Amino acid sequence: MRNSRALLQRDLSLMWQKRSDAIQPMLFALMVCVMFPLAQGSEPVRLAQSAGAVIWVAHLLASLLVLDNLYRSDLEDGSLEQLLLAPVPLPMVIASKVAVHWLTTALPVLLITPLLAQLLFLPEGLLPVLMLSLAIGSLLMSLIGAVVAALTLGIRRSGMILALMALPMYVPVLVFGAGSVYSAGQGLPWLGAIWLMCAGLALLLVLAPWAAATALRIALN
Amino acid sequence: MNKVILWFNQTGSPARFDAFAARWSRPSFILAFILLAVGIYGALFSVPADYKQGESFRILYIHVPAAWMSLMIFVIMALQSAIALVWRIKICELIAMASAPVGAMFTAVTLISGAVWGKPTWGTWWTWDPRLTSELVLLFLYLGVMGLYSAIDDRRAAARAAGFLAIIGTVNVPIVHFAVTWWNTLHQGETIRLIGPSKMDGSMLWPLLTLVVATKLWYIGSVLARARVLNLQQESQKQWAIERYGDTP
Amino acid sequence: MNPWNYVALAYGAFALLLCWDFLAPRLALKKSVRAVALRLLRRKPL
Repeated sequence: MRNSRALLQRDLSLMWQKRSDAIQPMLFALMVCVMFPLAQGSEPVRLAQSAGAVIWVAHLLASLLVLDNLYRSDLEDGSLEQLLLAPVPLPMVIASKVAVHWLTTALPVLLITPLLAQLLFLPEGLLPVLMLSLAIGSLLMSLIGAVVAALTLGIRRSGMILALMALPMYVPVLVFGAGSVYSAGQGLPWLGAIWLMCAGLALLLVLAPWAAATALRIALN
Repeated sequence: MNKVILWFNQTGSPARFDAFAARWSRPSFILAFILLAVGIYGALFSVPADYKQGESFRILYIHVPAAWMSLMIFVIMALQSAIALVWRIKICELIAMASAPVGAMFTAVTLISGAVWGKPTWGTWWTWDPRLTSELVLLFLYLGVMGLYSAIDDRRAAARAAGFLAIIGTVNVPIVHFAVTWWNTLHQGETIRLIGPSKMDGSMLWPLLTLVVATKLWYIGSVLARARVLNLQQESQKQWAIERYGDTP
Repeated sequence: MNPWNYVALAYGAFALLLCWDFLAPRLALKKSVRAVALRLLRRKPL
């Protein structure tokens, strides 16, 4: 337990040193959302129809772009290899990394989601569903992303490949997450999709750190 | 020692595998080709047109075997990768990586034939229902495995990483299979079952079964040929490769 | 478009993809075998 606290503290203080970086995914998501009225005209009715989907995709793209940061800085200064050899279970190391990563990249975007919803004229009743689905979905995406990022670690300039590997894995998250917002908009039951995502989260909270640890060992050996 | 185990052990060595693949790839292809010809003749000329769908239903005879292969190959690829990761057997890595392009090809056939069948029959080339979407995701997964394998320089590490991706991606296979039961989709439900009676009449069924066997034989021929190439590429410096292929013009 | 055109399209795509699947490894094999032979040639001082 002391070990996990120490790991968490290390990752948190590293992230705190670069806390201004947390603004970047926020701005990215904001800009993606701005692109849509620019591209398809600014009629509120039209924007409102796809607002939930656009905000979901903005989250997804922001999540893809920051995935590289998860292991990159530790890989570059050699501490990743040290962590592999440390007596701490590697899944625990990864779990704390993912937790901190989510706090500094997904949470900021989650916090400006109400603003994004206003910009795109999302119908008011849908905001709670959107926030709930995004909260769970962003965790799922961070966990899945951790596994895929570990696999592509050995490749130089792996940005595009990483995104291509991660996108098919993100599809179920998007289908259920954005789908719940869509269903809510149609007046149909939407809680089922949320429960499914929660089930997935329960599963991945256990499996993803372990899978990512295996992937890291494969990539670094 | 048990003869079967001994055979597996020996064929696992690169030199022996090369001989094995060289020997069996062509006969597999020939047999596959014959069965393809018989099955396609049956599908196009012997079988009567469907009562409801007319002639376009003949596309089923390509679409279904290809779809089954796209799923089967993914599972084989994942299994071989799992064996390779646990026991570090090089040949399993090669068979897994050699299976990916073949599986991608069959998935492409499934999607294309499905689209071409959909247009005259149901009025649309494509729809975003769960079965079609998950089959498309399957194609992306195959391409991802192939892409990851080619992106890493060390061949063995590349095979292990891509193999791990294949194992994770296997979760999509049951989604494709059960999509028609779990959701209401445009795609039709189960007509042909492995166990128990099928809903398709015997006179229309035989070309389908012929093509199912034909595609399996095709896969065997293709994976042996491709694995042989991968094997040779990695073993090009070895004594056996030089002795066997060194003095070709 | 009459139904046989669609059938031809589907079967044609099938044939094309099978052709690719058959030819690609054969070409790659020829390349690899040549590479082995060339390597041997380079090693042996002529």
